Amino acid sequence: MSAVLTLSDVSMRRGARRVLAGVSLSVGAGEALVITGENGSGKSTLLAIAAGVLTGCSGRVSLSGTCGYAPSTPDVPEHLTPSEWLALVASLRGTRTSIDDEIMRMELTDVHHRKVSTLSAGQRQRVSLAAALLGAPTLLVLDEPEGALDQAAVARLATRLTGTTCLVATHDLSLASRIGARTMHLATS
Amino acid sequence: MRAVLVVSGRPFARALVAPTMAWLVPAAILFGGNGMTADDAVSVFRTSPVSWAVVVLAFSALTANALSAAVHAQGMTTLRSLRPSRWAMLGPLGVLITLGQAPLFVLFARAGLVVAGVLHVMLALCLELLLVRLRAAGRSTAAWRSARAQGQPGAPLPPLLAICVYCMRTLWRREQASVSLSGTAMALGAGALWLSFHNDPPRSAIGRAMCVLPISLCVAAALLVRPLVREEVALRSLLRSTRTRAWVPALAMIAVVCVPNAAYASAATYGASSEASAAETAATLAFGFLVALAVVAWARRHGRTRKQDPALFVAGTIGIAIASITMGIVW
Repeated sequence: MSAVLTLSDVSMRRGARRVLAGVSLSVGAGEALVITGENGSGKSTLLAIAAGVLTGCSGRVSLSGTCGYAPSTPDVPEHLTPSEWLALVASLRGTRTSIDDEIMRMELTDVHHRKVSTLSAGQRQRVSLAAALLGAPTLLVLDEPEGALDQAAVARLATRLTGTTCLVATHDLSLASRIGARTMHLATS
Repeated sequence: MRAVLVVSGRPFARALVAPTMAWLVPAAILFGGNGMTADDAVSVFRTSPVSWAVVVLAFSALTANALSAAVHAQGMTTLRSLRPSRWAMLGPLGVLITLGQAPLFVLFARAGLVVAGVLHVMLALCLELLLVRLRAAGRSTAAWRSARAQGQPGAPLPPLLAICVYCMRTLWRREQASVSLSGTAMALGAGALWLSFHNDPPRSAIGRAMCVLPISLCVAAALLVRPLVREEVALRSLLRSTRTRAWVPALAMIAVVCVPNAAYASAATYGASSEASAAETAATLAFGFLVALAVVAWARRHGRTRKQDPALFVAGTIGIAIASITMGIVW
């Protein structure tokens, strides 16, 4: 199985505090890896490094193909509508996928024309996930995707993630078993 | 009632700045510089029903945006959920929208037609409410059409164009106060240039424009670029995860800020001096672009510093304005 993402001896410091210490991992094509760990163990930092969002770490990060990233707190601009945000993501990713299909899959049909500021936390999370999933990127990096979602939405997401190449940070171990992922525990540095 | 005024007052005032400037500048020119009186304006309305209809309709359309901002202000939903009396909700809103139409009343009152002024304000208010309703209906139709259009997979916009659209949406929807103030700075700069040309015709139009316009150019560009730099920081995770090159948002920012500034500089010079040649107008176009470009570059540089001191940004912008004026004096 060819590796889509490889992290070798990745360390990260924030001031005097060591956030990550020599983490190595590899995610192959079609494989799902779930990262677990206590609060403050560096899961979000690790995922941001893997997605290329956070720079300035030591070690080697290698990613082949495109990446869809959804942070734990949805960072969707409040003055846009979900349709407009997905159109912007599609443009930056250069994908020809139908935005409408993604809106329907994430059950955002009723709210796609409303400004994000008027959406609930769960709906915002769905918009963020739709942006990450848009155009079927080579690697999905999802930080606590179940955060504000209801049980039915988590079940649908698990079905959607099965068979995809993804790196997921979560506290919900049942999600890991549902998507058939191997798990990796990150200890506090 | 006080809560409704507090919640909706600020968005209403913000949205009213742009339309107020839109009529204040021509009104100041007509009633100040050209000696026109309220009687003259009312007699024009009497002789030409078309001009009367245009003014009333334009006035309603201009303030409809402010009314919409007041009705949909953040916090109004919470206030409505408290089930206040109808008068507590409608009273303050009525006061606000009547304030928006006050200039129309003043125009008729100064011509000695107080009752006609009241009737005109009421007519404008009715038209305004109609426009707000029509706009809400239009918005949902547009959303439906856009959804239909997006249903067909097609080529996405190029990244540069997509970020330009995003920047313009940000300015229009979230930074209306900055856009209004930027427009005001441009209007004041153009007015100052016109007065300068009118009172003391220069030998070189471009030299005078380079001395007069930089302050307004710098203020306008700074007001537009600051929110865009903040937005770029907010978009950082998307830009990095999609491997968007760093020059793409920079170029989008330049397009959104510098192009209107360049157009303003050349239009203001052309409008102020009928003797300005095409070469001089083109030169002011380039000058306006370069001044705005310097402000954009400074704002981006300042945005990268760890401790972002607004005073430092203002000082840098003033420095650019002084350097541009010095260039104009040397010219």
